[in-house]
Amino acid sequence: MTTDAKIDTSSAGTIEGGIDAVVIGASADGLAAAAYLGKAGLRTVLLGASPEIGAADDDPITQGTAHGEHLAFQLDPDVISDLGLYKLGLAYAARRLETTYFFENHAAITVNGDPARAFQAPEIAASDDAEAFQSLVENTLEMAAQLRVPLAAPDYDGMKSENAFDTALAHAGDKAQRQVMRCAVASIDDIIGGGTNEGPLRDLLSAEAAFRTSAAPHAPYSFFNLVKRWSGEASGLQGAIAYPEGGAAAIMNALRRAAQGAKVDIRASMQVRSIIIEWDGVAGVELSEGGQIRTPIVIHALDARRAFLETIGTQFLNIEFQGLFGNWRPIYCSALFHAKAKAADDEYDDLPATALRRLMFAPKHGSLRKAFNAARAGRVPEKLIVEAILPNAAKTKDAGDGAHYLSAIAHPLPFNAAPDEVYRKQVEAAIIKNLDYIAPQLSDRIEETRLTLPPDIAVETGADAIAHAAPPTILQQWRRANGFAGASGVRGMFFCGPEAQMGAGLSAAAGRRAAKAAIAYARIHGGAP
Amino acid sequence: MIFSAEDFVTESPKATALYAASASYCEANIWTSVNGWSAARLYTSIEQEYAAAHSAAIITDLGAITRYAIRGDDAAMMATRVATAPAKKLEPGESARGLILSDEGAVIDLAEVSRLSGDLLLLTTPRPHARRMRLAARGLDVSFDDITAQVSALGVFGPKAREAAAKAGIDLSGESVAASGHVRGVETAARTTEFGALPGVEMVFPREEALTVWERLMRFDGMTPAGLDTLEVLRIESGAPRPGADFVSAENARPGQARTPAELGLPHLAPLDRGWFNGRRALRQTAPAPSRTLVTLMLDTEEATAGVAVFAAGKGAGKAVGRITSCAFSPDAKRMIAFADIAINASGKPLEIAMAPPGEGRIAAKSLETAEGALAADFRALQKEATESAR
Repeated sequence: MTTDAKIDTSSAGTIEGGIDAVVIGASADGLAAAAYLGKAGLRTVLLGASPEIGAADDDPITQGTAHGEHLAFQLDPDVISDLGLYKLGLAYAARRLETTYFFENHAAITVNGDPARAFQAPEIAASDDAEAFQSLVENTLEMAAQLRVPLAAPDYDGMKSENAFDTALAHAGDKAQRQVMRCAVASIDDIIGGGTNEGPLRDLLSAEAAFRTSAAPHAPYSFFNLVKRWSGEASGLQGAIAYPEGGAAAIMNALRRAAQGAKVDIRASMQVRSIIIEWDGVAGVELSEGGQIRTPIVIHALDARRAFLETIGTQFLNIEFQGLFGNWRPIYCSALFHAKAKAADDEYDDLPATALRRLMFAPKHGSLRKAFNAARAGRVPEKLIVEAILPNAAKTKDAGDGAHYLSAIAHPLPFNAAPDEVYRKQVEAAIIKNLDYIAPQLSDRIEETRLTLPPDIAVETGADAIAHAAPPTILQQWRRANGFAGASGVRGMFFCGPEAQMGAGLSAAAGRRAAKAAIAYARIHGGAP
Repeated sequence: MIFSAEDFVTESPKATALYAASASYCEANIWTSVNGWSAARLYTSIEQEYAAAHSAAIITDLGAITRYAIRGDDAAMMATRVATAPAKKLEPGESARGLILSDEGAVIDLAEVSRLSGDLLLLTTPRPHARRMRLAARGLDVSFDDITAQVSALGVFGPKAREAAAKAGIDLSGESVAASGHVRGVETAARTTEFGALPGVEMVFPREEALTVWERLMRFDGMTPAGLDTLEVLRIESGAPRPGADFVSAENARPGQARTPAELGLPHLAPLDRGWFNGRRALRQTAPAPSRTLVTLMLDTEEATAGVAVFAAGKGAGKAVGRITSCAFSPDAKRMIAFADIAINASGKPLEIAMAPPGEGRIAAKSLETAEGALAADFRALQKEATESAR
């Protein structure tokens, strides 16, 4: 037995200096921000609450998708290239996932992975609405391309005017601008044409637009969710969806390696009690165990309530800024569902590797409307939009144990900050029932399940569950994100938590912009090389 | 305390607690409304009321001014967040003036904070600020109430104001200390105040007892009720800008309309080297150098209106450097006195105004010395001294 001298590693009572920046929270945004700061030559410390940071997800059932995500569609392409994530192990098992939509009448349409070519699906091309569908898709994609930059992440230079949306559009032409402003308030029903053309195309678009948002297809602003959704370029193709090998955990790991490569000092199991404010600016952070780290820059990647109200404290915040906290209550959320199913004489058994697909159940328009109403009333809806993938479909048969693994996201569900067993059971039953549209008789073969709700993700990151609920409408998110990012007025504080992101999905764009702003700040205020 | 600009759209203004009392004296019967409350514009004539203000005392209904009672351990912290007045340093009975600033450091309103007792503060503002107060109370151990509708408030101004108050039974021996006392059994909170160069007393007491205190004060020889029109003359003479007239609240400002304390000539109400207040951060860090300035002018004419253009003197038909924001006829000087919002580079230079129709010539506008202007000048001199000695 070796007798190593015990070194007291607790930081209680110490004051640590010589640090240029502290990043709080090991989310994708936090990791990306830390990597950027490290690359810029700033001595950076990343404080994560969980014992392992960017840890591999070794639960065989969740297959690396337990972090709330199983597909990549909003991952910031600039982060991928700036940090060289492909070199650090990011790999896409499929980068233009075809989507097969299932409908209530048990019909199915398989659509090209490139949304611009979606209308080429024979079922769509043959329908009466093919032309209208094509022009709608083209217009939406064009709008999404114009708005990609402003919709990716907020500005950190203090833009807070509620009309900022206009300013961001200023570079687009007059006509484009008018079109965007008209579409910004429109519901998906307005755009598709109210109750006129019932049919699978409408159900398909409604489901895509309403998926993981708080805007029902008939609600104003819902169309813009589709614009946001198709503005992503995770895999180098606008609007396409990619499946990262190893799931979201693989992206987190690549980001962690990027941070490590940039000499970021990553510290796990560290809780921050408060951010020290001196003369209107950040002076350091105080850890829960008592120690202090002095630093002029803090990037906060946990939720906004924690960042501002708890760690900074209301007495240091501008009065109008606090209005951002009060005006939104979460109503809807999504649930992540994993299942292990017995491989029976199943249609996926003999599929080749390319069969990795995104499967989506698109409830009928009326059912979807009912679902949103039910969720608003706090009930688990009967019909849910379900997006599912079978992660091991990409692998050859002998790699697995013959079982099928399924990862699904279901929406809309009522947001519940403290879900009990009864609620979980109800949610699980509803998801399984809806999965039957995608894979008939699947429910009979399920052996083991995992259900991940917003509070479960929150526990993992140490953030507030509300931050993981379905975000408000895009324009509200726009205002909220820009407010949190640019208007707190505390010098040296940069926020890139979930509220700074627009739309669902793993993005890291806010982390990139926050880090860029912090680096510019460090150059002006000294401390950066 | 200054009234905010009149609102011309209120159809049936609410009656202030002192409405019955003031209506019985309002011979001219000219009324207006401020913040939805009724307010007399004229009781007899401006000359008569103005003369009383300078020789004896005037009494005026201050019921249209908003008052918040802030209670709790963090009352002073909340008051400092809302207004720039140094609430934490106030002893019971003391009051201080300040400004309400936006997050960007632009002026929203004027404010006065009084500490009535250990954990009870009174915040007096020309306009109501319900939302701002709610946001400012977030996270603090306080409760606050808008008590405007529950109290009567009146002001007595003039050289004999304090004498009149003393005769009515309010002992205000200390210079700055507020007193709570009883006037014929009615509990009152009174404090000394100034309206420009005029000394005065402001009193707040229960709504039900409005007439008792008013009548008691009216017994004083020479006490004259005065309306908003007379107060307007006194206000411009004293150099106090009026919210809604001389500046636009930053909450309603269109681009280019928001003004910093320095631009309003009130830098002494928001000193940046003191404790934290909302907007200080922006003023210290990001606020650009002042580009406009609010000046008081004496116009060589007997008529002028708000909105008239101000020019740099002797520049021919140059571009206007600014506009008159409010003006009134001073019975003493027999001239118009005015506030004007002008470009900063035109301040200190000779100015003139042009009356319509064009071609009728220009009228000279001389700078008018005011009490508020003197305070600002003293403050600037002190700041300059401090920076020089720091070097």
